[in-house]
Amino acid sequence: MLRKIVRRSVPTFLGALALAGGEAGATGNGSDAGPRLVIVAGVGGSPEHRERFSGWARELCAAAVATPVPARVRVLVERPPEAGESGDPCAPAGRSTEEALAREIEAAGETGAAEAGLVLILIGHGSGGGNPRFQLPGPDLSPERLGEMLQSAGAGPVTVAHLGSASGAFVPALSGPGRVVLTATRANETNETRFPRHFIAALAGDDGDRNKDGRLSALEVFDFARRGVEREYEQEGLLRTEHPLLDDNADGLGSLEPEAAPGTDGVLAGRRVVLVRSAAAVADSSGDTPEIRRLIAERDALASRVDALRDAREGMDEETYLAELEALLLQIAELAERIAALREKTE
Amino acid sequence: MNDRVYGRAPTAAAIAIAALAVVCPAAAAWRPPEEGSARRAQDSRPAGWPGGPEGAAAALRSGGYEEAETAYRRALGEPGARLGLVETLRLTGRYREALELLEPEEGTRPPLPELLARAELHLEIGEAQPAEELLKELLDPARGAADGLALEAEAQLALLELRRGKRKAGLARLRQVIDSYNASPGYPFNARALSAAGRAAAALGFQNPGLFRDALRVFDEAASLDPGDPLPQLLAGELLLDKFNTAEAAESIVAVLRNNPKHPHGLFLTARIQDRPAAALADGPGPVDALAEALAVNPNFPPARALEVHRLLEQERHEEAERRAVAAVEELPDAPEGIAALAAVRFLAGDDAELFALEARFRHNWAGDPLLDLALAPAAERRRWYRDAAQRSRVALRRSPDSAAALRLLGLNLLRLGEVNEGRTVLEDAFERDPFDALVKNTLDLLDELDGFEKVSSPPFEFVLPAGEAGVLRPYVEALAREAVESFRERYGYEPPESLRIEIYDRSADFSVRTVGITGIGAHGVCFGNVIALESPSAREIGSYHWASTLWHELGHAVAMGLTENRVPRWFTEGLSLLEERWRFGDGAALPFYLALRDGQLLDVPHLNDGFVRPTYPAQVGVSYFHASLVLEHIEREYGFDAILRMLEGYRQGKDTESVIEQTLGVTPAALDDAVDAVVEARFGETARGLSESGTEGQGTAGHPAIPPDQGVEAVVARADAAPANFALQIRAGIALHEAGRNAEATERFERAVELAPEYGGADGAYRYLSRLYAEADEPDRARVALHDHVGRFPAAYDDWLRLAAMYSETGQPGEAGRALQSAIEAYPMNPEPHERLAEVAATQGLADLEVRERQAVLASGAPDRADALYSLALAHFRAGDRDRARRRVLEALEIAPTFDAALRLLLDIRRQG
Repeated sequence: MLRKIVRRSVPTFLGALALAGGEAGATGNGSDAGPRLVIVAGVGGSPEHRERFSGWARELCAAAVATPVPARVRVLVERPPEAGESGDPCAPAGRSTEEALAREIEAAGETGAAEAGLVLILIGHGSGGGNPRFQLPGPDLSPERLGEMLQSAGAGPVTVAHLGSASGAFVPALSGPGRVVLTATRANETNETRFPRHFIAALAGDDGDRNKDGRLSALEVFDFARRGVEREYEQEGLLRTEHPLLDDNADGLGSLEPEAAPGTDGVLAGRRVVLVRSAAAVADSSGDTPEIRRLIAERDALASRVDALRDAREGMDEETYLAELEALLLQIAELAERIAALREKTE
Repeated sequence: MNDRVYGRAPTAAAIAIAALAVVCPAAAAWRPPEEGSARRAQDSRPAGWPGGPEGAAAALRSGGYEEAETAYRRALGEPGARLGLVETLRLTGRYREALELLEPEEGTRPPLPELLARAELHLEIGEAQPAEELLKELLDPARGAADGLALEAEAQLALLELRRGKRKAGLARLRQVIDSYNASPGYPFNARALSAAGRAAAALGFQNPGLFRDALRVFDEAASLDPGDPLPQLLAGELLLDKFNTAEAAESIVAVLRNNPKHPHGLFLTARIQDRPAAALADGPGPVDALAEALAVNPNFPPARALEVHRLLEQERHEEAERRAVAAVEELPDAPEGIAALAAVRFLAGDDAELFALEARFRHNWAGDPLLDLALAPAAERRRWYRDAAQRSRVALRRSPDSAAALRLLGLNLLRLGEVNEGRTVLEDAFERDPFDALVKNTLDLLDELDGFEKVSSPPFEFVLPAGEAGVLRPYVEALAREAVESFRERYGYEPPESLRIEIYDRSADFSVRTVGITGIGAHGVCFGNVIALESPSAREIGSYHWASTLWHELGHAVAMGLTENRVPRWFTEGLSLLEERWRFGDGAALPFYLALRDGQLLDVPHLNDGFVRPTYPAQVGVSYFHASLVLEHIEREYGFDAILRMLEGYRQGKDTESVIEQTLGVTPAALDDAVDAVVEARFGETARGLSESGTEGQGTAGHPAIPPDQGVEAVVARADAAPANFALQIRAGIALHEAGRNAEATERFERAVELAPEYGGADGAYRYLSRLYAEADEPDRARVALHDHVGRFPAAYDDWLRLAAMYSETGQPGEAGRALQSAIEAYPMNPEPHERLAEVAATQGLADLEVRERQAVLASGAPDRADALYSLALAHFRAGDRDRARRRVLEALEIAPTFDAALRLLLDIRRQG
């Protein structure tokens, strides 16, 4: 069955764009808009894991800043180096204590995340059982405490990705209206996770952008990482010990295969853009001449009709469906050609 | 189908009573025994002789047969001594002597226990008529046999009647036994009587499978009533073994042998377990040759002598098998096991006249016993004469329509013949009669799973592929199968059958069930003639399995089996298949082969088969494969390929290996063996002898001599210096030096290893390390050559093929890169990466068809970016001039990603061209 894809829902897109800088690339790292992506590398427990977690945090940051619309990122790690490289946007901003995390979240709320939103990524070990925690230097972080912290993040959209073990235990406490919560595992899965590598690959590479619109939605990232984990376990012939979850309908229950179908988990995550990967995608929403913007709006409207047609496919005659699909796509193709020509001219 | 579960009977009596009640409502009256109510034969014997009756009985039960015999003989006049001596003689195979001892004096009426003992002695050696008469005499109401004794006799007579073809009477009597058992108030039976009731329940299991569980429960009760009596444990073990529940069977048998390590029946059952696939033995009895032990105790034990013959037949040692079978029949002319074993010898030799005579002789006494046919069917099966096996199973069913074992044999052999639908129906029937047969259950479960597989007919092939993998596998499997058949047609004049079924399993357990009915087989592929089954590349770890060479190998068997009408011996077909495989995919000798050569463990040619069917050391099967291929390689080089064809024809005519060698090559087997030895010595001898310098230490995980982890580099190097001709130690030293960053020295070591063993191939071969070291030394050409040498000896090295392809690409050799990528796919096709790269190579070289195939594979292998994979495929179709497919695929891409610029442009291009 074809999975439903939700694209470019303009009314919520402004909020979603926040991570990428919101205002058409005007905000690079260090702008006044304040932190919007907070990456936390927790306690490693061994030098190897400490290195790994801080390395992943750096990779994620690098992916987020190496886009046409660099995100503003704050990185917290277990042991930050004494002096970071000056001008390095991914240099750790501090130690990943509960206190520091609370400060970063609060700062995000104060400096504009109310509109632009916050993406929080937790990398590290989690513990399950009746007392779930995310392991940080100093006191470990409980789901409830994180939930409280997020109250201070302002009214903007919040996306939390907990990439560690037993992360599913955080879903009930973090679930809420406007929230997208991704976890690497179910609550009782305590083995070290493979999800983070695929999550990073989704953000760092081109393959995660399933619908090729230049914007990575939370759903696309989740889906890419989830499938990667599945494939890996399958190829190695292992029993899966991690089942990623996504919750975005505020019911506190994560879904294993969110679909963006009405009433289920996935709808909001499909609209929540976590990274803009192409300049064209930025221009689509924020730049260009009025003529180009009009053509883009026309193209997007046609693309929505493709969505609708696909949703109505069941029961349609195959040839009729393909003919209608082709007709719409040819119109989009012609518009795309005109948009490209106009852009070339304006450059 | 989860209901097909077999486990040992729960001990809760209520469950068993409920099941029994189906047949006999009186079961509800059954009550557990009171402590000490069991009657034991020995209890009434006074202790008036040396050692006392307990001492003699204890000696007998612990295998001290000589001691027991001496004690019993001294006290022959005492009560119980005669029966004790009879049992001693029976267990040690002196049946005639035992019978003479029980011969009643004229004018006397022998005691009833002695009557029963006589009957059982006659039964054990197959003398049906006297046994039947004695049992009937015992059951004569006038003799007033006690309940327990009567129950034993009744059960024995019922089973005898069934075997003699008196089915109605036998079944009625079995029910009577169960009725008697259920109706007896106060539970007065001893262990023997309980065992008899258990046998009756097991024999009626085909009518009500719950009775199998009841039988086990009753055997367990009997065993707990008299822990010293081996009979109930033996019966339980045998029943479980018949259901292929090897682990639980072993528990019962081990319990018997723990008390009496010299119990011939216990040893015989152990030998049966030892004949099961190795995995089943994990928790079973030890590695001692239990059959030899059984025969040492009781050289006349009919089932053990028959098993000996069947083993020899399996080893294709016909003359020896015939000699033993004839001797067994001469010794005990009526024993049905012996007649059946001799019949198997005649059957495999094609001696129909003798076979018919033996069948007639067997039927005379055992008209309702399928034993003979059930001996011939597996004998045929082991020779891969599956049609004959099926035919014999049908005959067995005509003789004994209730035989679930015959149904199992028929069903499994039909599956091997590719007659899947009929096979399944037969197995369903078998399952209905016996839901506890693990082979039947496993196979039916597998067939259920096969329903979800994709079946593709492309004559002469029929492919059965895991649904999720068919998209990737099918083009490669089909292309390779066609290439192999074409190659074999050219070399052998082989014409494939109308239908050649190739099944591929993505779970090793399923493949194993398809092959032997249970999980745990270590092989990757199997050929049944016109049906080939093998593991999917996804069933094993990357780098540990080469699916393409396995398929090639199995197709080689199809040729050898086809040309010889399945008469080719195992060593020959394995050697030939491996030879073909080596020529197509690469060649490398493994360390165990060198070690076997060093230790003088290579078998001579006439006995090469033993290395496959009865290995005596763990690596012998693998060593025998390579050795056999060297024998065939020598024959082809020395006598021409036509000699191979003539040998195959000789086998088709039913000749044995010695005759085939003599008549085809004009030399004696010994002369051929000498010549092969000389070739092997010249090619591998020096290398093998070099290994001897390492001493006798064990092997490390990478196949090199194990060196304790706390030894530093210098110690490793010193050991290598002390054994300069030992290539394994040079490799080990090279690894240590490389890890220590001493690359120049490491390179010298690996180069030395290559000089010493240029043919050594394995994941840990020196060439691979050399490639890395040359690359680090900025010598890309040498690095590439070394890597090429490595993969040529170890074609499963998927990652190394990819690396080699990259090297060729960097040096502007796209053709070579493409070939390396194809080889990577032959090692593991399930990843998108080699397909993606090969598609790119194909695009640059204008190989449109190849590009399309690879793009299809990228899509089927679950490329993470599906829209892009569809677009790339559409582009490949477009380049190949297939606009319709290009349009279809680009629409699919855009359906996912409607604003995908490149795909939109392609759509316009397609449209504009049209």
